[in-house]
Amino acid sequence: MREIKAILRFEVTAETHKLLHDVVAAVAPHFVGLRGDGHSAMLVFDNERSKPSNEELDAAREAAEQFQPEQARQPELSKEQALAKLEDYQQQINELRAVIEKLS
Amino acid sequence: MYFFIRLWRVARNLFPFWRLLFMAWTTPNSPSSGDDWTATMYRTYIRDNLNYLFSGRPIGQVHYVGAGDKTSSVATWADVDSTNIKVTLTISSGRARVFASFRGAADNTASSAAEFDLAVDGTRLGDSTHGLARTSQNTTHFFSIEALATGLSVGSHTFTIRFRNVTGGAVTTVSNNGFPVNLVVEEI
Repeated sequence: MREIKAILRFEVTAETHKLLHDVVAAVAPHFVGLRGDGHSAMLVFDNERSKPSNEELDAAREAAEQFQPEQARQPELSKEQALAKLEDYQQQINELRAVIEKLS
Repeated sequence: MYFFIRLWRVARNLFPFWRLLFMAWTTPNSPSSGDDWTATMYRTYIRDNLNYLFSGRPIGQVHYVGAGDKTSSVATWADVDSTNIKVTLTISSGRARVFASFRGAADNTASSAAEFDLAVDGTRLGDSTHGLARTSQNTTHFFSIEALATGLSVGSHTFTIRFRNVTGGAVTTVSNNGFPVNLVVEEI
């Protein structure tokens, strides 16, 4: 196993750990997991079958250090946005209903 | 010459003090029939060893509350915190009792299971695969785990708590943000 340390912009919890794991796994094929401790994480890579390149390690560290959990979470809609979305859905339903009536 | 005699006398007078500071077990001699039992022998093999057994055996403990929880999504074992949650003792008897208590959890990832163990010098004391304790997917428990370390060489040894998740990518958490993690070790 090869381990490198990353300094994070957030505190690691079970939830943010999972989000960070997915982000690093997306850029580093050798990445097998991480250990979080407050605002730092030890990124762990498999180097038994093949060794991760320095570029891969750098990309993994950068992805971890740039990552902010807020980016990964689905933002909650405001009341206006929700109403606009509802209106859009209603419009689509009306259009479909018109097509169905035309065909029947 | 006089100076060295004085130095020797001072050092000799301080000898009991140093023995109190660095008291350790001394393997008793095996006297043969007819051997004299001297005051020095009595002090070394009886008095000092009894004092060692009564109140001098090494004990160590840490009760640590950190700034953040300890998490792992790695399937291989590792120390929960090799800097702050460890006990180092000089063991003479070759044996130690190790105890730990903490709050641990496995997340809701499919097949997630958190496992915990105690270790001496990086060698785990529990089951070779699953350690001393395990909790299943999406559960949180307060754990008390204990093990006896035997066959230790005479000298310094470091005791730690280890953790892992059986499924890579699933998350094991040892709560430490507001939750104490306790590790107690005593020579037996």
